[in-house]
Amino acid sequence: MSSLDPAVDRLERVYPWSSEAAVALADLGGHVVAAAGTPQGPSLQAVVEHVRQTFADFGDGDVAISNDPAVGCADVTQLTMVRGHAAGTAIARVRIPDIGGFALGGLTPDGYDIWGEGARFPALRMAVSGRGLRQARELLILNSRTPRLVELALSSMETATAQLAVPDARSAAAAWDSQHRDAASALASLRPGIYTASAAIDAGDRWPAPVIRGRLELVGTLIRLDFSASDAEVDAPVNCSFALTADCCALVIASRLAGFDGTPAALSAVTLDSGVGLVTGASERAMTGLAVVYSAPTLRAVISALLDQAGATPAAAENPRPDLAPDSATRVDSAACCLRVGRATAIRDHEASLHAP
Amino acid sequence: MTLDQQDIFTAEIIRNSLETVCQELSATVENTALSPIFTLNHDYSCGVFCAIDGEVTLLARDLAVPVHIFASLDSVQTMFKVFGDDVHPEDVFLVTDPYMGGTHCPDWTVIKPVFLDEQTVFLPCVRGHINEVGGPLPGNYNVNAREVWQEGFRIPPSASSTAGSRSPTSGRRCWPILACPSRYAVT
Repeated sequence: MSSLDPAVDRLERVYPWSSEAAVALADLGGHVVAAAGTPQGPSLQAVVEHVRQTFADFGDGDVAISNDPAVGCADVTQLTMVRGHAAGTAIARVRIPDIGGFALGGLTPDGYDIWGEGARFPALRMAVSGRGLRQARELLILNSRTPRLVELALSSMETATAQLAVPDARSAAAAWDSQHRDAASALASLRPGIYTASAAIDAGDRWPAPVIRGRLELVGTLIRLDFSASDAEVDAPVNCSFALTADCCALVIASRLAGFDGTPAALSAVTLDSGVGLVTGASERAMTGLAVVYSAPTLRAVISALLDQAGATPAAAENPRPDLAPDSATRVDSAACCLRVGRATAIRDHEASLHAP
Repeated sequence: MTLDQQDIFTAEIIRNSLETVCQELSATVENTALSPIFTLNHDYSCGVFCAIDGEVTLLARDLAVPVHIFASLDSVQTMFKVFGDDVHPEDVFLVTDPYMGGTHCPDWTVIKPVFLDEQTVFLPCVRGHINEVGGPLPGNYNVNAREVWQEGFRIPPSASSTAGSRSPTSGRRCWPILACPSRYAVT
């Protein structure tokens, strides 16, 4: 059980509709050293890095949010909050029901680009030195059809991140090194060679079925996962962001390989190339709304097939990390729940406004 | 010459002076704009307002688009409603949202208060059509829209400055985040 699990519980108690809530801690170097909730370590780290690059003066008491797939989120309805502490950074993530766009829920069957899915904020500062920025909060809430739920989500994340204690730099660095070493030796147990696998994303007849092509290279000390041969991104909401690709890699390897715990430190033992402008490494304009439903399972299946060839523990056999079972059910349930709650709230608010004096 | 006749002449000089200010505003907008909506379509308006006892009045305007300049009365009024006394000499305000002082999402109104003896005396204002403000469709004219979120990115009345009760860094970060949702942030 992670020491951050109580923080996830608090998050879910205030905002119970997102079953893929996640909480993490990063050290002063921006490395995520602890995480809890739905495993999303690599993408959480990407958001932290982007926020620190955007706001060079980001420090204790500063808060920023991001929902941009280009910098670390899976899709625009996934809201990530980053809070600076004296010793590092606390991160929280929930899924919100809506952030504008063509349709409630951030899904846009008729869209052309990611602007159709919803408003994007690569990095929006919400507080400086503990003082909240009203305009930033209003900006976020105004662009949602479910403003009260977004307000609740923000409050839950603010509470969760404010109460987390960041570990000191020395113990964080030691944890990072240890996870990296364990991951490297776990990967070294695989059979050396070059393996390939591919699968088409099955999203029904409505959209094209781009192919994900993976290549696993285990040669000497080189451990490389390469998706740069995948099909180009498509005009459909099934493109995976780099962050989602990294999360899938971490998740699958961790569930199949004892000693690889799926943290960003562990994944840093692998050279990962998602490609840019591909269905596995969506560019800034690509739609990503349904990637967690259709594309992520396909991606995980390709990675799993590669690991099968390299001699990893069979998926059906003893699972070294049963808590990291690679399925998309959690994210699908979370998205569906948010959509249900969001739709009910939006209808209720609209009816109330019709009868307002 | 009577006092009334002197006042008429003085008033006319002041009126023309204010209109000259508006013409200079227009010239500056047109000469510095990157968007052809400004430079070719002239889809912008400049005016000078004042607020006396909470009542906003249009003092002068250049050749302008009527739906812009007269609707800007509401924009300036909204600015005072939202910010109240939190208005400072270094402030620049932006009002765009259709339900908070604006007309439609692409029309942005920028207001820069002019102070004399710590009082707001004039409110020069420019309203123009921004060609792309995010939203599901490029250009923001969505004939199938049934809600405002299907039209464009919504921005609440905002101030770009570091004055008063605002954060030391909010002003510097205001404009970049507002340009972010646009497909053509450069313009």
